[in-house]
Amino acid sequence: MTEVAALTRYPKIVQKARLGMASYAHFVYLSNDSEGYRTRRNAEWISARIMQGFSGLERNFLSKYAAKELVSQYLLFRLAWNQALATPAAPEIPMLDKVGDYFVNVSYLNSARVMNLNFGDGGLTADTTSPLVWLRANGYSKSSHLWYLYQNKPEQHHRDSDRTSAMGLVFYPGDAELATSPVAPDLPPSALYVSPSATTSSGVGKAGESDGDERPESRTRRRAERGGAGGCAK
Amino acid sequence: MYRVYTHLDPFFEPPPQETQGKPFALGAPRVGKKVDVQQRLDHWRTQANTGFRKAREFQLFGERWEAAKTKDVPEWARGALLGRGSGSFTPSGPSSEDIEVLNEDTKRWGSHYIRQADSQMLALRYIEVYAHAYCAEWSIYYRDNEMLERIVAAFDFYSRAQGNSGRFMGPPLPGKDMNWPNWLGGPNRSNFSPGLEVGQRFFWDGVCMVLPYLELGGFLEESIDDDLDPGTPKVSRREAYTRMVRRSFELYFRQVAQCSIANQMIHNVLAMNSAFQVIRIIDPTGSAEDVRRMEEIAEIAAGIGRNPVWQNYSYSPDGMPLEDGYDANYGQGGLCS
Repeated sequence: MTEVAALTRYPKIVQKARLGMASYAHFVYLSNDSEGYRTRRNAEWISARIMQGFSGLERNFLSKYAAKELVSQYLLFRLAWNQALATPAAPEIPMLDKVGDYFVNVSYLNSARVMNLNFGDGGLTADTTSPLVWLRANGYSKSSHLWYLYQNKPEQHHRDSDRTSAMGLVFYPGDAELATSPVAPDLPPSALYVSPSATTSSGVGKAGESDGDERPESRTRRRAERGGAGGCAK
Repeated sequence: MYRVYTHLDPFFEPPPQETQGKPFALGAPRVGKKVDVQQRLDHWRTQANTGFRKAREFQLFGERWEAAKTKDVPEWARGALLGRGSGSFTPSGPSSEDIEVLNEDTKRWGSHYIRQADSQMLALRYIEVYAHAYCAEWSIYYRDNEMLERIVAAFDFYSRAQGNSGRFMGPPLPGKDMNWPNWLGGPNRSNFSPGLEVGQRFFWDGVCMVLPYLELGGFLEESIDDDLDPGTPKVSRREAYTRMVRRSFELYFRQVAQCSIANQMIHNVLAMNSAFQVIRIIDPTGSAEDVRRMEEIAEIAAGIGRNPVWQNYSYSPDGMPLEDGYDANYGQGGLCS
């Protein structure tokens, strides 16, 4: 967008690009390159492709954007914070009680791999094992989460939560616990999520109020109908 | 070889029997060679000139064209860009097989050379390279007419290769993927148009840089066959290129709205803007309407206007890029390159 702003100089786009840069500043930090010049680096958690960890800086931790967008990495940070520092404990966030339900609600069991709402590059079978494992590790455990982890058990490629990784060995539920998972998640058969832009500060909105009140499954279907993101520049 | 420990303490203390390695000691920092600004500039100019020389090898032009002629390459393919490195002159692999859609010579040769322009037509970037080589005062090809001749040779070929849709890459050959595109161009231009074609941006950026020199050199008034149809008269390059850029402008006008992913919309609107800049010079007749459409579609791509097809916004109110209107997973991908 900054390129479009620079090339076209349309006033509204210039203004929007400035807004975007201000927002994006929450995800970058300054450092030195190999020749000693100041350079901009991403906070690693911004990119699912990198995901090698996180910068761990307090200001990143406090970023409202990070809290809003990046569940897994926040939970990992929260776990590390509570384990390493103990006091002060990370603040209680009521939404964490519900966020795991969201991942379960947008899962579709079928004869092949579990389908999910498509996150970015993930594809229809992208799974959300990682945030559910970290939720459990942070004490937010529900039987519906266990159901999800059991359904995805054969998959061993989850970054961070691979059962054979060091973190996976410690935090992933064992076979005995997985065997106790319910046949179906104990959640209502349907749920409606609305766009944050239509919600109140508590994060709850009314159906039909939002510009984006389309059900997630409709988006997933629509995306599948046009062949996913094949041939995209990403 | 390994042991695994679990613990609940804030810090892990390895047991005494655990063999520990020696702490790694950092050596003294290496003193780098000091390079001043001029040396840095000279270095990059030398590198760029090396690139200019190298880029000449990737086109059916000059010595390569002479070599191609010995392989019976049709005259109308002169100027095509060979982005796949090997620059094969003649159809090979699936392009050489007995496939019905390749029964016509034009389609067989044409499909081969469209494939040679690489995925998403990225080889069109050589046009921009030739333009820089011609325009930069420090270039070894500064004001060298060969660069203009290369650019018009390429434009002549691609004016024949473009479909009515504005794209160059056609549907894949049977059983193949998008890296084996069919021919869309003359004499029967096709309307086929899915996906992105990022490379066109550089195509129009390059010609925009040299249009005044093409005008001065009289290139635009020369007549060419822009559709491989013996039944239609030749047209001036000005006319052929105007038709071509108009098709591209319409292509990207449609493409921006058809995407619902921020970075793709930005790629498309940047290509559209590049075509728009050429239109303003070569065909200013519809300028007011062109300006309105350009601004309208750019605002949609930037999330200021609602996407008319998908009914969502490509950027959040705070300016974060969205995918399908809800997911900011691409981060800087949609914000800056």
